[in-house]
Amino acid sequence: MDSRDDRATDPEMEGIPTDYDQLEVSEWGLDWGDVSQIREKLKLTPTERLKAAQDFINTVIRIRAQNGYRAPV
Amino acid sequence: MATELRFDEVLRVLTRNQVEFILVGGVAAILQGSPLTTEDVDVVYLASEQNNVCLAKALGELEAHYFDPAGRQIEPNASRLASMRVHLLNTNCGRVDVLRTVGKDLAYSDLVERSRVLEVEELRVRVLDLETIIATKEYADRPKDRYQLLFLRQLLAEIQRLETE
Repeated sequence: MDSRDDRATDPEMEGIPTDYDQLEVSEWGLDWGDVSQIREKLKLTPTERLKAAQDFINTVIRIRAQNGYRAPV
Repeated sequence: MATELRFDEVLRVLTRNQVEFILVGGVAAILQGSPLTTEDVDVVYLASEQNNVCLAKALGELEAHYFDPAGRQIEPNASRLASMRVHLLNTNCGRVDVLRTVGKDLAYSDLVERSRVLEVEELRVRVLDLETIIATKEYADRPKDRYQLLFLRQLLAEIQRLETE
C-alpha cells in the first residue's frame, strides 16, 4: 500500500503531504524539511549552534564506536 | 586519538594563546546557522613569525600531530608552520586543519575583511563570512562542496529574508 492509499482512507490526513514530491522545494532544490532545519538553527545563538553540532557528532561517534568503527589516526 | 570532538576547546586554546586566526569551513558555517555537520575545525592563520610561535604553542597544548597514514607522531612547530601551507592535524580535541590559505589562494590578510567576530561562549571568534565560505566552496567545486552549497545558499537566502523583514 502506498501513501496515497493512506490519505484516501483517513479523511483527517486531508492537506498533509504524504509524498516527497508534494513537499515545497526551495529555489536551491531543498525540500521543506531541509529549509525547516535551517530556520530552526537561525533561532539559536552561535554558542547554541556550536553545542548542538558538537553534541550531535559526538553521539554519532559514540554509536559508531559501539558498533566497532574506529577512525584512522 | 580524541574520543570526543571539542570544537569549543580548540577555539578556547587558540584564543588563550593569542593566535590570530580566522575560522573557516564547516564550523564557521555552523556558527552562522548551517545545519550540516562536520568532524573537524578548519582555521586560516596569519603567517607571521610571532603568530607561528603562538600557534605552535597552542597546538602543543592540543597535543597535535600530523595525520600520517604511516602512523608516525610528527608534531607541528613554528618552523613547519612558516614553511608549509597545509597542516592536517589530529589533536586531543579531534581533527584540526591549519591552513595558510583557503579558496583561490586567499590568505589571512585577504580574508580578514571578509570575516566577522562572533561571541561563542566567553570567546570572541573571528569567522569567515557566509558569502566567502560559499565562494571558497564554489572554487573547490568537489562533489561534497556542490552538495553543501545547496544548504549554504539557502541559508544565505534565509538570513537575507530575515534581515528585510
